[in-house]
Amino acid sequence: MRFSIYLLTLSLLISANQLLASNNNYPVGARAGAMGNASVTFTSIYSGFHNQAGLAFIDRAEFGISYRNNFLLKQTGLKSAVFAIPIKKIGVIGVSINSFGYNAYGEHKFGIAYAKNFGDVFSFGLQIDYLQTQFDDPYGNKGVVIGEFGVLGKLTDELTIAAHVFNPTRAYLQKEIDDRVPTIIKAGLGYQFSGKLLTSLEIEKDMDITKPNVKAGIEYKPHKAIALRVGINSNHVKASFGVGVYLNNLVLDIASEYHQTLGFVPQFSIKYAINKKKANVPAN
Amino acid sequence: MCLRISLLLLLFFLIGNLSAQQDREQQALDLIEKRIEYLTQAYEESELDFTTLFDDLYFLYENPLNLNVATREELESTYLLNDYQTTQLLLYRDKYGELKSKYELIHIPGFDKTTIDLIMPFVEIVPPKAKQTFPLKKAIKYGRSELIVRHTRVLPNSEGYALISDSERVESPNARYLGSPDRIYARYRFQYGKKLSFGITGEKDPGEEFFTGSQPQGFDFYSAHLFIRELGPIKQLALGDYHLQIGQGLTFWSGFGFRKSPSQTVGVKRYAQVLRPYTSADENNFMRGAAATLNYKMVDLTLFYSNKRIDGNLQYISDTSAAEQVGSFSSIQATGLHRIPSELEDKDAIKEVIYGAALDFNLKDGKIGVVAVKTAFDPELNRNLQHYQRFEFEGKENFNAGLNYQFSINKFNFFGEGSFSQNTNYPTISGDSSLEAYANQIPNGYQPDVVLKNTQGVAMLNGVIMNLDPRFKASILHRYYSPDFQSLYAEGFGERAGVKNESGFYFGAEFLPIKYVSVAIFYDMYKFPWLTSSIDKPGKGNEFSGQVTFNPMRKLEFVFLYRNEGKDKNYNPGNEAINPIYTEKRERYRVQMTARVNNYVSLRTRFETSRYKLGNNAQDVGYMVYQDLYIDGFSSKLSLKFRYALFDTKDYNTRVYAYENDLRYQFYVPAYYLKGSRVYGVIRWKVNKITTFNFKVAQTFLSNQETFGSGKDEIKNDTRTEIKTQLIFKF
Repeated sequence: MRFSIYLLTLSLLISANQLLASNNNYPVGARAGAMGNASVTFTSIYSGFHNQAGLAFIDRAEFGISYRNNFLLKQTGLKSAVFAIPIKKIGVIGVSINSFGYNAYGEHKFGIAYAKNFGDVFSFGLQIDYLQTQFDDPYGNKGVVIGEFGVLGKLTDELTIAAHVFNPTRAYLQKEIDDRVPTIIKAGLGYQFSGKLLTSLEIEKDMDITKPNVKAGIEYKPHKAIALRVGINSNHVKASFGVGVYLNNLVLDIASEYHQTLGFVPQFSIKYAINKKKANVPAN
Repeated sequence: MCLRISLLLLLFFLIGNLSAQQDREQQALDLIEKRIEYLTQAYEESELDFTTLFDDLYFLYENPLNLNVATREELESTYLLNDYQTTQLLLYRDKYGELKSKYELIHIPGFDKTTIDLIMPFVEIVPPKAKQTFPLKKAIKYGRSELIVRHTRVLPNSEGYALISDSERVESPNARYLGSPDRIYARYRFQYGKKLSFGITGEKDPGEEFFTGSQPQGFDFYSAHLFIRELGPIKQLALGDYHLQIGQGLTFWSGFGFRKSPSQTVGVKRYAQVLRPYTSADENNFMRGAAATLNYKMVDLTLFYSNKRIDGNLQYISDTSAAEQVGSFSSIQATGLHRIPSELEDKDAIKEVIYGAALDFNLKDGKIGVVAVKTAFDPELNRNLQHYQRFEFEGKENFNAGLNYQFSINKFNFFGEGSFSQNTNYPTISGDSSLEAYANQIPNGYQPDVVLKNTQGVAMLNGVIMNLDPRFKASILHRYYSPDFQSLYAEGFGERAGVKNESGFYFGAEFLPIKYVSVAIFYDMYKFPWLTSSIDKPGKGNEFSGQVTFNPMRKLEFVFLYRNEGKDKNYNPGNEAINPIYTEKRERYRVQMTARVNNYVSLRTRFETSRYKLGNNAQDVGYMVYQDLYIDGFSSKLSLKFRYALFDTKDYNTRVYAYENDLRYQFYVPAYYLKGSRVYGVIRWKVNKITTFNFKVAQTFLSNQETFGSGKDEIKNDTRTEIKTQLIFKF
């Protein structure tokens, strides 16, 4: 029953979007990056960049910083930071910041998220973003406020499903030339074969791009402190791989994507849990 | 009275045993064929040479491998277990001693019921016996002989067999085939366990003469082998024809090697056996000479030599000053067909000599090997190369050296090979005017570096197979074959045949998400750093395949397959000066149901559709549906298989491939295309203990076409019938 509801939701989500064109919703975090960014079902602070519903499962204050370099060009780096704190009976509050580009061109994002879970089975998350596109003189800057929304359900101990919409209001960056912030819909599932092995699958559809992007990833933990990851993307064609190291309160992840035509996208991220409590390695 | 009853009982038991024995053979044969069918199901080639694999598995059925003594090498050579299962079995034996019964297997990690069912006919679990010696007398006495005679003919005859007047024949001698349209194949093989094998094979292709004219010795092609294993320090000894297969096939691999397949998503690793007897009828792809593997402790040394003549197109240039002819050859003819005078002229025109050595170190959890091979041609190869062939082999001599490895760590099995090629007299750019002219054509700034360094190439392949969970296996493989890597007998993993001009990442996974369901998927992304025959620029492509098998009960199976491939291709409808490149997209959907109706009858239904789209053209669609009927339960001596298929495809681009049941030892995966139907029936009848009779008749009917084929192979009729007969004698 649960499964058929899920199928229905998924098919509705996929079929509802044969619409219109661009990119602004950068994936952040080397764990997701290593797994082909098939990360809509993940529940860590980096969910602030993938699906805010995932933030709802955080049980203590954490922060993370991350850097990713697209195709080994210094002008195309992406710097990010995220912080999230659970507040009893209210939910989880998160703050995230993203900065792409260099002095002549940049894209920046500042977001505040709220996420809440119900019985550790279902959760939702909302985020308000301020997006800024920055140009060198004499063009100046332009900003816009948009929203994000996501849901996540743990159907069984093994299976998690989730969906996320970026910019559901189809906000304009510049109305006169019909320059809109892209609207991106994602839906996916995560399957935990065992405590050591997680697989995830996700379909991402940008309303302005005809072909959806199918993403898949595998995470394997030969040891509780080490994770090996690999992933693929169909559009654009990409392979990715990476390693994670879990040290008490600190998690270090490194990864690289490999684009068939443009080459490597190296990235690293760290995550730190502020509480002294023994590190609770997220299963998902 | 008492005696009579006991005699009756004895007889009863004997008969019981006898039929049990036959059932076991039937079961083993079925399993072998199912296994091969499974492996071939997505191969897109018409005839596959699985004779060697069939022979290996059948040999195992007759001489089951004792799991209590089998070495890693022996277990790997069965193709039945993967590395993880092999390792776990060896670990289990180390830890708990010898196995007592097959029921113990289920306790070994990696062994499930399916695996155990699969291997049972080919293995045994008995206490270890003393090592066998090699008594020649005993070998002759207890060895087994097998004789196979096969005849195949297509009706009606094609244009190449039509009658013409003598004057016409004189005028155009190549217009008609010299021989009859029959294909005749005969093979004799003697085997004593794994220790000794010798045999002879002969084949006449359709159109070739038989005991007349150009073929006074009978068959057009003869092959013979003598193969001995474990004779003192000699681990393997091959005389006559043999196969040489090393590492992952980058440096040297004669014969068939698995590439991509929806059923082998994780099993991308090759298990090279170095030397094996050659028993097929391919006229070019094998070694002829002698080879031996010597073993000393953990080291195996293999020395090999091959000297044979291959077909090629000779050109003679008169050198007046020397008053003699200097020859060179312009192409290698790999078909093995000698049906017309011009083909006969090319026969055995080139002398090919191959020699080298391989050294293997067998470590506890792995293996490291090195190999060096030299190939020489006489006369030299001198072709009129197209730009895309710029880095292909030319000249007289080629040298290859490779290093291969494999090792296991925990649940990971790593394997790979690096290879290097050096063409000892490749024309360099300064000496070759056409190459210089070509390099000058390329605008400055776009001149690829590779144009200038063309005598040495490298090929690399590295992969890992991961048994991450009892329900999840995955593999990753990366390969890089430089455009200027040259090896004439290399057959590595890749999108294209041979080992050249390709780089790519491959991901495969097999998993059991829920009960009764198994999933096998792969995704491959590849690039061609240099031009190919159909892409006038460095190209790229990617391919996905997903197969879901649903087994709700033992007697019912559903298979769903989806494949999707996108690849660059030249497409120039507007006749522009430079070919524009578009994406060629292929998609395939398959649904198949197999059901065992009762003890006697099984049914299989398949529906498949194939979609093809080039650039912005409209999508073409092809359909195929078939119904199979298998009758095998009435007697273990007789089995009948029938198919009726309907197909409707616009052209060859939307063709659909389907495996067909055939005579034993024959594996046939034809392409169904155009519009029409195909029907066939196969009978396999075990006449007595010695003789087996196989017969197949198949007919294709085209509803929108009056002819099949073209040129000399054109059949002016709307049906084409194949009749195949085979007799197998075992004594």
